[in-house]
Amino acid sequence: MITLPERDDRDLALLLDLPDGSAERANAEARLNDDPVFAGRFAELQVVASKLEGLGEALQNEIPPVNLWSDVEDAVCHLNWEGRDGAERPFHNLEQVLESAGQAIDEAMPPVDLVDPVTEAARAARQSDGALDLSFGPLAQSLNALGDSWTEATPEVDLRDSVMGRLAEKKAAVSPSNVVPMRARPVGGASVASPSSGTWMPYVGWAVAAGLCVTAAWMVYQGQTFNDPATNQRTQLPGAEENSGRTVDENSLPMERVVPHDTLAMNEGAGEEGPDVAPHTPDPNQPLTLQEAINARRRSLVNNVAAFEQLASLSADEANRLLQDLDLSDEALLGAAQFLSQEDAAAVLRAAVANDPENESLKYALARSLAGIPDGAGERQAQLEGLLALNKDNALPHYLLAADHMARGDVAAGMNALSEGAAGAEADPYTLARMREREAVLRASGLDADVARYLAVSTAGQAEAADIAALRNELLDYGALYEQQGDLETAQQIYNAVNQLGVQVTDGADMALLQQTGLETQQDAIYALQGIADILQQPENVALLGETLNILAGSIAEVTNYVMAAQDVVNNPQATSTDWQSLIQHILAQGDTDISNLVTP
Amino acid sequence: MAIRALNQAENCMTSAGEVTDEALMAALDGGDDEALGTLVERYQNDVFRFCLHYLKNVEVAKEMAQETFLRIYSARARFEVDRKFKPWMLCIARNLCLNELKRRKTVHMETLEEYASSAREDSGEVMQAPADGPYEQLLTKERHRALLEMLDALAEEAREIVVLRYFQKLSAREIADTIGSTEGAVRTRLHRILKQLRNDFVLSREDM
Repeated sequence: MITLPERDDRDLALLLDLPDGSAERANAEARLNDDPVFAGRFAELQVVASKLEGLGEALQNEIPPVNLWSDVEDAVCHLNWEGRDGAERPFHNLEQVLESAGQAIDEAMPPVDLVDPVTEAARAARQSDGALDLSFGPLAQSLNALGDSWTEATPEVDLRDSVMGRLAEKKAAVSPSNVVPMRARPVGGASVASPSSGTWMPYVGWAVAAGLCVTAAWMVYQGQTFNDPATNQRTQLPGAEENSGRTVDENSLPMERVVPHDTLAMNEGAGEEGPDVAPHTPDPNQPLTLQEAINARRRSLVNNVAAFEQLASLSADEANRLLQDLDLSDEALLGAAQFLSQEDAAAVLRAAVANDPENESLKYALARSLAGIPDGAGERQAQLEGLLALNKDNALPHYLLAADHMARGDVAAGMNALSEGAAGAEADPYTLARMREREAVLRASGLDADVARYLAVSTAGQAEAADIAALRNELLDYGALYEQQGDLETAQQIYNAVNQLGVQVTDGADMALLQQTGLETQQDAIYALQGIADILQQPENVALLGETLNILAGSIAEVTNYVMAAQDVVNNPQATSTDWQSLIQHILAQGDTDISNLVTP
Repeated sequence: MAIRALNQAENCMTSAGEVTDEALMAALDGGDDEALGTLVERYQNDVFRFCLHYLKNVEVAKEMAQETFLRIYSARARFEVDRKFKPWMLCIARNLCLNELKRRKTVHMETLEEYASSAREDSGEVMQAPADGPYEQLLTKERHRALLEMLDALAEEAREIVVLRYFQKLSAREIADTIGSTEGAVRTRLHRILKQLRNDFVLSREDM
């Protein structure tokens, strides 16, 4: 046993651990040699270490080597597979199965060359259009030539007149600016006085101011003179030269309403108007009669609907002049607003709403007039929300708000408004109110009461139906946009809401024309939903929607037939004046959707 | 704003001395309806042909072209003047055509080749060959026929891109604006389509 001084045990042990030949070891040994006691100890330790190493070697020699792989090696590696064939080979069956499986996989895998297509496509994306064409040389040339041939061979079109004509019609539907000058009211006929003018007095001033402004602007635009209405001088109206000879007694009439020759006498004697309608040239100095109006209606059904609608319309100038009449009735004033420009109508209606803030129809009319007016969006939204506060059952304001939100890019608010709208009971554009207002203003313009009623009834619901159709198209366009972007869920929600709008319009319709528009709205929405079901490959839904569509198509046909039958009856030459008067009164009071009891085809 | 006034503004003019589309849109938004008339005259045939590619029916294509311009009028306030007008216009036309196709999806749609054949009968010769010799004309005609058939065989989205590029002569940037994609994606897709067409074209010539 070697006994080491306590202090130095670790030094010696560390010294033994230092690698031979290293600087540290040489340094330590140098220090050790300076201390003969420690040097002696170290020499002894080295002897011990040497003995231990020898012992280890001896032990290794005594233990036999172990080879755990040998058995497997013998079984697999020493069988000399190369020298054996077919069934003699070990695992022959397994080999065959693996080989055939590998072959099948090889055959099933399409040749893949990921590098070239990816790099080529990336290169193409960076190239210019010209470079891309260049790399496909003859093919690109052929396609270009094909496109050129196609362009040359396609017939040219001239759409300018038709587009501008349709634009004029479209604008006239909102604010007719080039409509009929007024037809003479009966000489000496009493003006239509308002039984409740006092109610409207606070905003009549607004209306008059708006009227004067527009009239002045209109005169500047037309470069024409306008005499003081107090002197009852005739206004030189657009198209007056064409209507020369149709002047009325200028000194006796506060207003004149000259029906254009081509409106009343169109296709005179052509026989298209029915055997009962004799060719007739109206006397321009006489008031428009009911029979003339009915005859014009008959002719319009086979010729030109727009011409008849002119009879039931006022120009913005005419409407403005009517607004200067302080005795104008409430309804007539609102009727006049239907023919003003949007800005002027808004001014009139704004005052009306201030005076009667809980009138739903007024709020709706104001919101409608504010559509598209610069800076009118906030006020429109406030009016629509106010309308909803007055009547939760009318879903229409929700849809209008939704379209406005969407147009501003606020999709979340738009979708929220749509879902609220879809939960509503009905969608009411206040058709009856507008019809009565129109009747009142036509009477105020000098038309005979029966004629005014007839014209108002005959054109009822057209503007409202056009509004609903425009709203439907706008919403469907948003749906189509999301569909194209792959957001089918949003598109589907929009289409569903449009479908519901159609249901609500149909359910709440006072006029058959609006019923028809509601059904058509449902039809369009179902077409759109079918498209999504197609994309999502939902055969059941497609079939279901198809069935619904067929039912709707039947309903549309029924309503259309009903409308035509009702028109036939109204225009029936055999009908007495009492018949149509009672019919028209009924429609004015309740709409035309329940006249079945009065109409016997 | 009147077109006359626009004519005097230098930054509203093209190099050819015409009022730019974007300036016309600004004028339209300002209440000058005649600006729409100018745009109709300028683009009516482009829009009509564009619609014809989708609808394959002259009358319906005319109707959609008219509707496109009316929609342009309706949306005039939403047009951003720093945006290119033509792709915006074609985007409107495209949406209208796709909606119309959706409505009429049960109706049999002619293929391009069918339309070309009928149009050939209607107007003499649609796929007119260049003024080469008879042999070259025949070859060109055959090549066009083969190409039309291959275009018909393409997926709708692929055919749309080819038509926009080679029939409407739009750049990748304009195509991207029209169909709502990116310029790079359009070039990549066009590259793949052309590659496929080239392969098909080679195969068809081997068959011939």
